[in-house]
Amino acid sequence: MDTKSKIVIILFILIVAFLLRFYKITEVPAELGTDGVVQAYNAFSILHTGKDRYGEQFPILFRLHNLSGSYQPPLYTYLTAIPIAIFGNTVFSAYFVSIISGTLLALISFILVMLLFDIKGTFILASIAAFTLAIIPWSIFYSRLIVEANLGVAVFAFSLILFLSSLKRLYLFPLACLTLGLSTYAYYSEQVIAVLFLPIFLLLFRKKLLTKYFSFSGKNKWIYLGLALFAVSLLLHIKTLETGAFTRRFNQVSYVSNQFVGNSYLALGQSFISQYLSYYNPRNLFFATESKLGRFAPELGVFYSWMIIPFLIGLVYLIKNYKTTSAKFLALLFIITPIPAGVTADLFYPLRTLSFLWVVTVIIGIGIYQVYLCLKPILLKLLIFVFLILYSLFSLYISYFILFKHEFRHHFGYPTQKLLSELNSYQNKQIMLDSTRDSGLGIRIAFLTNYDPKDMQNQLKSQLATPYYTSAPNYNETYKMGNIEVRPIDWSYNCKKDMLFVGDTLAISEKQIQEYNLKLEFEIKDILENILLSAYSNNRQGC
Amino acid sequence: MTMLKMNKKLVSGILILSFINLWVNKIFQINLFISLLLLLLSFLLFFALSAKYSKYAQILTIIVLLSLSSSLLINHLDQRIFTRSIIDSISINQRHEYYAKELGKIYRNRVGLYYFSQLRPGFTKLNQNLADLIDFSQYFNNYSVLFLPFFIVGFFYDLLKSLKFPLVYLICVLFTSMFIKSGDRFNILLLFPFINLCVFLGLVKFLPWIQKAK
Repeated sequence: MDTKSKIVIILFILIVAFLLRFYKITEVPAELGTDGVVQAYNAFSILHTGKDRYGEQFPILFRLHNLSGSYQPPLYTYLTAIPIAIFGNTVFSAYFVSIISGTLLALISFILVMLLFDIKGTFILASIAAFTLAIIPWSIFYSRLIVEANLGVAVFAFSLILFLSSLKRLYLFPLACLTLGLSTYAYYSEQVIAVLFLPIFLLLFRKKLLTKYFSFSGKNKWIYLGLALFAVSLLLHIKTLETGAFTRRFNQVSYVSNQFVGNSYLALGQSFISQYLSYYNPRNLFFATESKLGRFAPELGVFYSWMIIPFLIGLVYLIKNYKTTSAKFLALLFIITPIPAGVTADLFYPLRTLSFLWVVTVIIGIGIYQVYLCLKPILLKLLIFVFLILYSLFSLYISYFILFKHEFRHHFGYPTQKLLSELNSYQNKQIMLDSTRDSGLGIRIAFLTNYDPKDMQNQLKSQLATPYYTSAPNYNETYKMGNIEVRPIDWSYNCKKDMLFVGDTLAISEKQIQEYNLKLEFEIKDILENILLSAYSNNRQGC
Repeated sequence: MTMLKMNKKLVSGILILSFINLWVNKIFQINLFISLLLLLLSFLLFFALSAKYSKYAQILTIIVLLSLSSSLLINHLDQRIFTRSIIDSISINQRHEYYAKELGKIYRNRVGLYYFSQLRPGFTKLNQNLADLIDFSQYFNNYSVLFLPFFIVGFFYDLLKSLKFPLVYLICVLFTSMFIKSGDRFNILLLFPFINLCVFLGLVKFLPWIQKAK
């Protein structure tokens, strides 16, 4: 195959990957989720003021306002400042880093497989692995959410390219270590994976990387430089280590301090083994859907069910070739990448183990290639692969672009853009939006209306009940942006002039409508005519 | 493909393994006749790998499996695959609006309506049943988790050596069991012989002295 054809194939795969991640991005998911829009607004704030929405200058961890109070790793937020600078405060710019991470992961997978394998047909193998990644449900799903984990796996995977390249070009080892260190600022799982990966990689490939142990001559200087750079890259974490903010997320999601698990090492060991092995359970990988996967799309798993067959074939291939660099490298990743998720309490939570899912995807690609080699007639190959791709994309479309869009819209908050367009007609009223069941409503409005970050900082900083970096961040926040106030509805405001109260059916009940003699102004409904939000004006009766 | 030279140790080994595991006691409590047939299938599947008895063992396996599968399907067929419950109907009606809006004419025709209201829910149920079968953690709650590493070794040994008959058995059994209601206790029974065999192959791999003839 000539170079031009190869470039066309790679470009085709990247275009497919990008389109699947970009198509209808403003409609599916239905809204910018709370965690995601916080990152977007923080990026907007950092871009214009160098401070986050609380006024903290260039934070190492971004304080998150949600039901339990937590922190977000910083890299996604800082990178999001770039598309916001270019495209402004749009839904697309909020998702941009995730979309590009998911798209580039297809390219990274291609390059990684090209480096790992040196067999006849490596280009086809790499293309299959990349295309598999391009159409795989978990990658599409998380590339269409504002999640740091997607960026984390992309940065981690990129560091693996550098590590593999360093086996032949040792001067790349320091850069690989630096990139690995950078991945620890992308997501929490990578903090654990990076620390585990580096020493084991050195051990596995010590004959290629090191001359005599502990000597500073020859090859070793690159190794020591790399290790030093990795250590230096982790220094920023130290700033938050003693405050409790660094381990806040771990304490929230882990069973380690859970009294029901028990404090004995045996109990903890049993819990870890059970959680860790759940990530290898073929049921969870290939058949479990939606409710068992932490709000995944209905009737869709992290992989298409048929992929269990190429996965097993890929595993068998690697076992047969266990002495090769590719098998050792993939085995290392296959074993260590579920470890961070193994210490958390949720049974099989895909978001915490995207690196592992990516390794499984590469193995599936290897399996598909083995099937490709076994099938002789070209027409048969074409028929089978076209059928599987079309069937998979059809399943994806139904489950994600239709069912997930409508059945999971309530997970992403109120229809804010529709609400804002309705509220445009009420500039003369004081508007109170109930945020009891949508804690992200205020920040979503702030982001979409480009609300002044400095004013936001003044508002939110005064509401901080604990230091910025703490083990117990508070989370009850109210927002005031012009004539709009976002908070749990306070009915004492009914006595004020020209009020507009907006909330769901739980926030404004029939009894309250009658008691305060409220007048219905507008309703926002879903496709089934269920009322999502109602807006009522007051007439100050009984004040 | 055969790989085992039969000797007294191997035969004793499969006998002991078949009786000492926790699962077989539970199966005996469910139904004595089925449990005896399953034990017979375990031995037949094992003998199907021998050089001397494979042909007869394979034929007998097919006969016993067909009989047992027919009996299970007749008595424990999952009707939910073919009929819709009230909850299913509510969900289908709700989703009708979504599909009509998003798919337009692709949905609003006879084929589309039939597929989404009848075929697709049926396939989803089959998928759920298959998911429950593939959940190996439930087998090792029955079998004892200590045998899990041996099962994994034995299973991949199966694949590595391309032991066709056990793999064909597995595929047939999965296909049959998909039509049996999950959570029924009966849906996972047909997998017992296969799991037994894989555990035994794993043990043989780890403990090669079992395979050495006197």
